[in-house]
Amino acid sequence: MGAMVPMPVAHHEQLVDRFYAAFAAWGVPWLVPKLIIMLVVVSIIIGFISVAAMFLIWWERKISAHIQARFGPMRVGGWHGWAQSIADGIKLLLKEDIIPRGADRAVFILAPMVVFASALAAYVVLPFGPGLIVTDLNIGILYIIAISSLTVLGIIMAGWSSNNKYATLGAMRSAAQTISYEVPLVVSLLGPIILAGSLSMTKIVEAQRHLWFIVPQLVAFLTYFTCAVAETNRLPFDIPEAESEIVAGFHVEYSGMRFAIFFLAEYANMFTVCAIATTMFLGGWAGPGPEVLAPFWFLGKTFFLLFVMLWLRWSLARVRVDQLMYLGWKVLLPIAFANLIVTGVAVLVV
Amino acid sequence: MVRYLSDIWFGFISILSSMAITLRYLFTPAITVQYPEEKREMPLRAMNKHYLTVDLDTGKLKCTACDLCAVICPTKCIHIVGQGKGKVRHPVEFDIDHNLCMYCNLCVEVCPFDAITMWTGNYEFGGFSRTDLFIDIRELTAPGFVPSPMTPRLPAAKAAKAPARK
Repeated sequence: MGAMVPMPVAHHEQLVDRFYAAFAAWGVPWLVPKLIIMLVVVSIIIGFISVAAMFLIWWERKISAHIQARFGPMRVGGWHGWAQSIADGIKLLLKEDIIPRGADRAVFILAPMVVFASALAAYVVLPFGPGLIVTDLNIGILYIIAISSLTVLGIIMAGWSSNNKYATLGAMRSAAQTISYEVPLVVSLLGPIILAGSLSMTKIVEAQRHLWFIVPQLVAFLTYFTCAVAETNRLPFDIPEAESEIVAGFHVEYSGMRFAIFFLAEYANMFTVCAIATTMFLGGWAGPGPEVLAPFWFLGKTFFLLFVMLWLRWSLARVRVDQLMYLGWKVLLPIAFANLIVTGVAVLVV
Repeated sequence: MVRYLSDIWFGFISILSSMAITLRYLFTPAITVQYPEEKREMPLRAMNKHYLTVDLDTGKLKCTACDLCAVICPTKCIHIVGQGKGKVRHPVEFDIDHNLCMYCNLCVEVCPFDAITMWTGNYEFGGFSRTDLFIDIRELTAPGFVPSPMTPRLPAAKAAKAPARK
């Protein structure tokens, strides 16, 4: 948690300014270099998401296996089946793309894109390191909360347009779950925001230079993490896609590439919620060592939280729908509000 | 209210204790046997593919083509053609159809000379067609010592000169 001087951001801006100037000298309109920069940034983010998601899928399979005293994927690529996710991705790309006859074609095609776009948009404000942030919005955390609620829209679109009772049931469950858990999630995030006095992700990380917010906000962290697991539809809150009850939930009719995009979005969302937890509670990129290591500290903490998510998956059984609602409204929400009030009073008094 | 708080507390504790259990399992070594690379040791008397045993002193098949195994076989999967009379009688054809064989071990039990055995530990004889499971005398001839009811293990004196098993 050593004090860390923010990287000179001016360096990046100088580069960008020179890029714009070069195009201006040729008489090309300002929009062209802007578009080029946007495309490059988006490509980097999509590349990062794909690699992270593929690694996560492989990692989840390995951890699942080892918790059950198995090996998991061992064949593809040689060393412990490291290429398994790549092989699966290629297989999904080559599969037949089926759209059911009764489905609402336009919505059916649009749904995975909406889900993935909302997962992608959250990466804009994740602070990977000092200066390593796409846009340091002054309302960063509010933006993430707003964007992540969009996922449920895509899920409802997928469930409704599939024209399948399991898909519709899964989508309805997902909507109920997301709405119930969004409230304690936001309220639990208000504690660190009060302590930091800012909604900007960078400012929140810098406010934790001396003390990570997990220490004064342990209750908020536990509430947030529980809600985050529920938000991403992971076990023990995976009732929207409960295999034993409703086959696969909202994506039961999807196949091939569209299914892969849902899968990718799910793992991208997992990464996002863990990255937010790292930023808000675990001091973001802060850590010992030189500043070059900052992104690795950030990724290390995030992947540790992801490991806890996988670990929880194999420790706990799926809850019932009524238990889920009970936990959300009667347990997590009062705790989050109590934490908010205590934090507010403490900040006011001290 | 007390009930509510104690429920939350014990729920929290039970989550932590279940996580402790899964963490312990995460670090226990996997029990999977990676089949083509690793193989489980077969029990000595496991019944697998048949072999016709060879007398290690003379190097000839012990079989005398007496037809007892072919007669007792419940599925009639053994076909033998013998040649010669008396002490020189030996099989020229010995076919076993493993499509039919049900591994009852009766042919081994009935054999007066321990000339046929199933204690070979060779269970890898799957084929791509039915004719692949039709095994003739060349394939049945033991490549070396195979355990039999009388000699389940090779005596140390003969072990030195016995050819290695495939």
